[in-house]
Amino acid sequence: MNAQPTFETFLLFDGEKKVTIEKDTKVPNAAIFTVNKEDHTLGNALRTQLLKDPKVLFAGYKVPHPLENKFVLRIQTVAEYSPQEAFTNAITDLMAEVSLLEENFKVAFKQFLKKTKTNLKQYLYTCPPH
Amino acid sequence: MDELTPQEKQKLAAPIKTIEEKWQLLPAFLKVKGLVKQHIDSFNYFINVEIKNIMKANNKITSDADQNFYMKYLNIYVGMPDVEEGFNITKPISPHECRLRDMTYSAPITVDIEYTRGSQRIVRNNLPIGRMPIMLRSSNCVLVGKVPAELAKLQECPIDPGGYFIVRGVEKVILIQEQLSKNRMIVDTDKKGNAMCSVTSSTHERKSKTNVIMKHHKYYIQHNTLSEDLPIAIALKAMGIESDQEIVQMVGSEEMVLAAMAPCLEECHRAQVYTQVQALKYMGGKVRQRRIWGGGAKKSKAEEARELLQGTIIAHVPVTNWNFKVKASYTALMLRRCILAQGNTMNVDDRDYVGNKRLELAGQLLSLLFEDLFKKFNSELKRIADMTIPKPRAAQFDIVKHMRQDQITNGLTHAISSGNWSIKRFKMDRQGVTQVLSRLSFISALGHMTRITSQFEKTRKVSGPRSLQPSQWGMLCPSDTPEGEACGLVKNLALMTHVTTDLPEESIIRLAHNLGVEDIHFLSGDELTSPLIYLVLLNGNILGVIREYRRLVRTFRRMRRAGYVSEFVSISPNHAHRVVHIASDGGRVCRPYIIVENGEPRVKDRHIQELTQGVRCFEDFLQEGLVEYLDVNEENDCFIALYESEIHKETTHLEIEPFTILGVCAGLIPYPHHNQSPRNTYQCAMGKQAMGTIGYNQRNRIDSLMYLLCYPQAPMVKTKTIDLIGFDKIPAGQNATVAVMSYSGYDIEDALILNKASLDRGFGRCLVYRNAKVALKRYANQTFDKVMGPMIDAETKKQIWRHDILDMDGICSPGEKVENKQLLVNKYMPTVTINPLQSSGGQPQQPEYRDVPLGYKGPMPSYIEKVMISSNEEEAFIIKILLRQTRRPEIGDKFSSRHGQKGVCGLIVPQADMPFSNLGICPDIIMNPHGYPSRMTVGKLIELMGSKAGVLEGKFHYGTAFGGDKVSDLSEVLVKHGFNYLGKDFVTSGITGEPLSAYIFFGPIFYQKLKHMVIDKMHARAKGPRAVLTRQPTEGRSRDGGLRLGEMERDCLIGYGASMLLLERLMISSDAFEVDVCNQCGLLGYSGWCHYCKSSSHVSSLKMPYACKLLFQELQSMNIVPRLTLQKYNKEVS
Amino acid sequence: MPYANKPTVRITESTSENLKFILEDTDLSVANALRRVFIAETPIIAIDWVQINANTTVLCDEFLAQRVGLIPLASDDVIDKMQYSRDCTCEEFCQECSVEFTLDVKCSDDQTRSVTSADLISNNSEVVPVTSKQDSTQEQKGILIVKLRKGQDLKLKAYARKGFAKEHAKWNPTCGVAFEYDPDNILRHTTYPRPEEWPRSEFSELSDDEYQGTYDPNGKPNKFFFNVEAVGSLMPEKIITSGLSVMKKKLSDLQTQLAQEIRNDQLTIQ
Repeated sequence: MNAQPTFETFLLFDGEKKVTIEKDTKVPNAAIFTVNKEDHTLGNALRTQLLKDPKVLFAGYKVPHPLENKFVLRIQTVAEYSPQEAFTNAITDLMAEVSLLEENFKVAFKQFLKKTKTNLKQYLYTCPPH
Repeated sequence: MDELTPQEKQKLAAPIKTIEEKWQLLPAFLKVKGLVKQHIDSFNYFINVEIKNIMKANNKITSDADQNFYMKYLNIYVGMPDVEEGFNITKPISPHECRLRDMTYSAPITVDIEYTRGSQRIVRNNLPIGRMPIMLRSSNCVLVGKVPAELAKLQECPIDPGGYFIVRGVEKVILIQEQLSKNRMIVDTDKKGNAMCSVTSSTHERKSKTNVIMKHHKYYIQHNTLSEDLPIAIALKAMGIESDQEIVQMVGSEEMVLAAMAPCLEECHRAQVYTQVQALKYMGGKVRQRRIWGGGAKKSKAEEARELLQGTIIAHVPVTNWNFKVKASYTALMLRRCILAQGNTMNVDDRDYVGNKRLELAGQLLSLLFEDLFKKFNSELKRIADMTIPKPRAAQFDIVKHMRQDQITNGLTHAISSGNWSIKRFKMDRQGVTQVLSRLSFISALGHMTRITSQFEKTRKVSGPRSLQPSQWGMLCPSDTPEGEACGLVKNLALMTHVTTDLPEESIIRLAHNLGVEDIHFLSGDELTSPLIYLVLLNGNILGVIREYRRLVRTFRRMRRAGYVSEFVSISPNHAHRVVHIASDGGRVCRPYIIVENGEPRVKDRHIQELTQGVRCFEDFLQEGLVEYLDVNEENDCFIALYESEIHKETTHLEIEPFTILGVCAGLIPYPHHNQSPRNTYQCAMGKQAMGTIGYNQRNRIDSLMYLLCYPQAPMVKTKTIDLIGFDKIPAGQNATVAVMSYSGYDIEDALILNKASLDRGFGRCLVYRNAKVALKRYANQTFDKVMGPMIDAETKKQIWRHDILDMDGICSPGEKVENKQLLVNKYMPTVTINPLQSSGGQPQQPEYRDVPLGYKGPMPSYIEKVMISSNEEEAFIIKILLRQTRRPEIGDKFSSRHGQKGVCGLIVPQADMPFSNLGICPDIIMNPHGYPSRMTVGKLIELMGSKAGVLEGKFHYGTAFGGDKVSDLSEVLVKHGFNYLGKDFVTSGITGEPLSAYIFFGPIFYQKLKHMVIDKMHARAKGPRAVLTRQPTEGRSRDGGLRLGEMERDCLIGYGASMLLLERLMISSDAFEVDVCNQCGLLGYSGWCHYCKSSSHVSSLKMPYACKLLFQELQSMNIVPRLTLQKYNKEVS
Repeated sequence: MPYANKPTVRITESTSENLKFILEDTDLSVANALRRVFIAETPIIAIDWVQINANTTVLCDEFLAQRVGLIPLASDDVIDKMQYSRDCTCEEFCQECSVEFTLDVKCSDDQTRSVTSADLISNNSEVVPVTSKQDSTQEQKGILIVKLRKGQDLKLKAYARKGFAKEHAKWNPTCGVAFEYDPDNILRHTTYPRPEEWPRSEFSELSDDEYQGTYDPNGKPNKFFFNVEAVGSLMPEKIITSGLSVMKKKLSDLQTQLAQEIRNDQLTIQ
């Protein structure tokens, strides 16, 4: 009854930004990205993706509080590379991977159906044996 | 027999094993007796037997004014519950109607009388004298003997045990009272370490306590009516035992006794008392002067003493024709006990021993009350007769016209509804005898019915009465007691305990004499104390002596098993005292045991088989002498085997089933024998707070507060007790899949992590029902309350917001959502209710009304579930509104398992973040493993394994106390289904997708949602209401009060030196007040003007707490002048 | 796309309720992200708005609404065409963003009448309770909502909307998503106190006398065994494709937002 409405976990408030960038003033080439209304799904995936980039010196994320629907991602890069670029590249790479996966899945599924020689329609209306 | 489910058929077909199946006796026992048999039996005994005895004991009223006048009661009856609807029209009433209409479930008490009117003798039958509240499911209740379908028609839950009363719509339980037995000698030591023997005598007329004490090596009798302690030898002489030798022989002829007696006799001689007359005279001098009863011939002192000795001192020993023989023997026995106990603590009785206790139940308490009221009723009639008869009248005096019903009716209902039991005759004034039946859950109601309170003071710091007594084995639950001040004083009955009611003594006396007991009247003192014989006592009275006590006991038991004596009469020898006690009094606790003879239990497979087939019932077992009841004293003379394998030659009895030593609340705990004992005690308290189903009639109830769980489930691990009490039919909790692991740090200090998806699907969801009640009264001046329709906004033509949910009749309509400050009933009340209205010009004036609406208050909106309009006993309209809230668990709500492991919800986590097993199963609850090591609730671990195995197999497992399914069997099931044998699972983190490095204990555990929810407790205030008098913030959540900065907090701030913070917290944020103070006179002024000095020249303004200003003014009103001396704060004090 | 993985998929079993597949050559974080998306962010249709016109049943209004909401609705064919209600241009409900259901049952027999999901009448033949869609030859009773005794009735109107399980579990298309890698514990991410006591994973490649693979200190999780179990509202393969596109959309949204933010950032600096 006191709990926040559940749509707050994914719906941005009016005027709220999806991403904010904050420069880390203590360290060169480092920035803290706050991504609102996202959780470990993107946070963890992006972090690992960033870590694959050799020009990224540091990438780490946290969800600062379980009731705040955001994660904070800190990226530090080498001199001639900005954290923003690294972040953008990571997203692009990840997107490419997911797109490829989507393709591969569709192909694999079609192949599987062909292999099992089941008519799609017939298959749809048979229920699995329990 | 036709409607057997396949399972039941299977049960019937299954072969019966000897040891495993004897528990079947238990359901048979409960079927006959029910779960609250003790209350119902006691009440039945009262309304069918005891009330007639009371009537017989007080059956005649005579008048001092007319020698010929008399009134005699011939019979008394308690009828069936009914209600008077209109003049002289009655109709039967159901208990549920009483609950809803705020009425009393009571039946008329009617009498048959014979009396004189003038010179006529008249017999009248069936005259009502009052109404008796009727216990539900007692012999006079409409529910008795009804099948579930009929109960459903009466809107009554078939599982509800009854045993309570409904008084003015409130369910009231008369708690079982525990006290020391009446009419029994108790030897104790006083402060100086001297032995003393006391006996509390209780008869219908009197209750008094007599002590035999030792002072300066001499023995005395101590009694309230004696102003001074009476030397024992004189007392005995006053009872007619004049010879010193006889006295000594009655007490005993051992060396020790002789030595102790010498000083007593010496004192007697010194007082020059040698004969009975002298003794009575001596005693008469010590009698405390009582208030002089009006009239009555003045008696001599000696006569007074004799009467005292006859009727008041040791009152329960009857004295007929001034034959004090028995009473003298009794006194001598008391003295003997004292002497033997002197310096020998072995012979001192244990006051906490359950055999020395009696339980007072509803029937006994009501009979005390009724007798008192009946006597008052009769004396009232006598008073009226005395007053009216001498007056010359046209009509002859007819006493029937003066019999008013309300005195008895109100006396009974008041006592039950307030719980104040005051009986003047016994100087008894007890508070809190009754309690409102707690309907939080079914278990709490049931637990309430088995509760026993002790008369012992809660504040005394003695451990004896609170500690667990070995003799309460099987009678009182060892686990179920509250924590804190009432710990050990409030107890609960065990599952099979029965409490006896009074039984007639005559037949027992006859039997005893026939079995060779020699009558005391024919024996000399020497024969009474002979070391060859045993004294025989019946209910504390000396019956006689027996030489061969063994044969007496044996034959007596045989007679009892054969049914010649009631099964509840107990006989047991006490070798220390050389007595045989026969007890037939009420209030003893007893329980059934299987009789073992020649090393073989008399109950055989055959019998149990017949029992399961339904051709045999528990009564048959009793009648055939296969099973018998033993009370605590008789248990001490028996050799009881716990298991069949432990039987050997000397064994006399066999326990029916060990788990019955626990009560109903402890019976819910699976594997309690694997838990640390206090955990079971905690669970007993917590099970009563669990939400669930309260009964099949819960939807028809309009209680002031009702908690229901949306999806209650029967626990996966059951116990036999659960089956017996029907907890699986109306459960309170849900089987939650629990992962025992740490998660996120929001689970410290026993906090639980809940799965959000589980909550979405209905886990822990509950309904909270509250009621709002309003009565429309009629007043003395022919005015009455009224309900008006909603107010319409002039502009929008819509109902104003506050009246938004009202129907045209001014009462809220069902289904509507009601928010804070909206009205439920738009009630108006006449401004003048007492004085008759002035009529203007012939026509009565229209009364003026003022609105007294029934509003809704609460932080969260509610929905109107239903509205009931009816009339109550005063024929005023009552409107009851049932309000509903649906609550889903949130952070801070309290949950607990069945092992005393409570915790609040610390975090609600989305399903995706939850850890999951390799089957993709997410837990509903994550529990921190730190809850286990210190609590040692191993039962919970086994419960998890049992539930998990049960889930995999699709069956319920049993965790019955001292039995239940074995861990090895459960492991086998787990392994068979491809799980680890310990119940642990391979679990992956939902956040990273990596497996957790540890294996996780994972499976279902029965969790209870407790009634404590944050929404009812959360409270914060920035600013808000203030108290009128002091202008300080109000106190308490209900008044939106502030949080107090208490003395200890204040001390901290003082110690720290935070003076400005202190000033702010204590004054500025509280009751700062600007006052004008005159520096000349030091008094308070007003708006810059000193009223005392009539000047404004020295007035300055300053801030002080309003409470301080108030104090000054209050002091002034008491003629004390507080003067303030002002000084600049920065000026040096010279 | 220099550092992108090139994942491959192999499907091992497929029924209308289960889909088992093996995902290879990708990161653990991505595999887990997919699992999380299937559970929490794959949209389906569920009843979200209930108007109770008459209710004389034993259950209260909120209780019924919750029960009705949890009934899985067949969403396969419409889910992609449908809009989220909050993104729709309409005032409250329209064909684009909602499906209307009505239920009107009155019990006039002496026998108890079960109100089930079969009594829910949809205005869109493609969106019906899953139990109503299944073959009529099979004995399907529908999901019980409430039981009525003689004289009780229930009448309600409900709208189903598109949504996902982050908001409420009724929009969760999955029953359980089993997810596993390293069945032989080669990476030693978990510690078996006694490996021989541990039940073997179904994907294990060890011989019968081995209980745990040899430790590979440099290994990385690479092969992921998935088993997506559907509740019936979506076919399992649909859950996966839909989930993947949600994931893609999330990333692309983030990308555009980030690009915008970076641009804004640069503007403010200059």
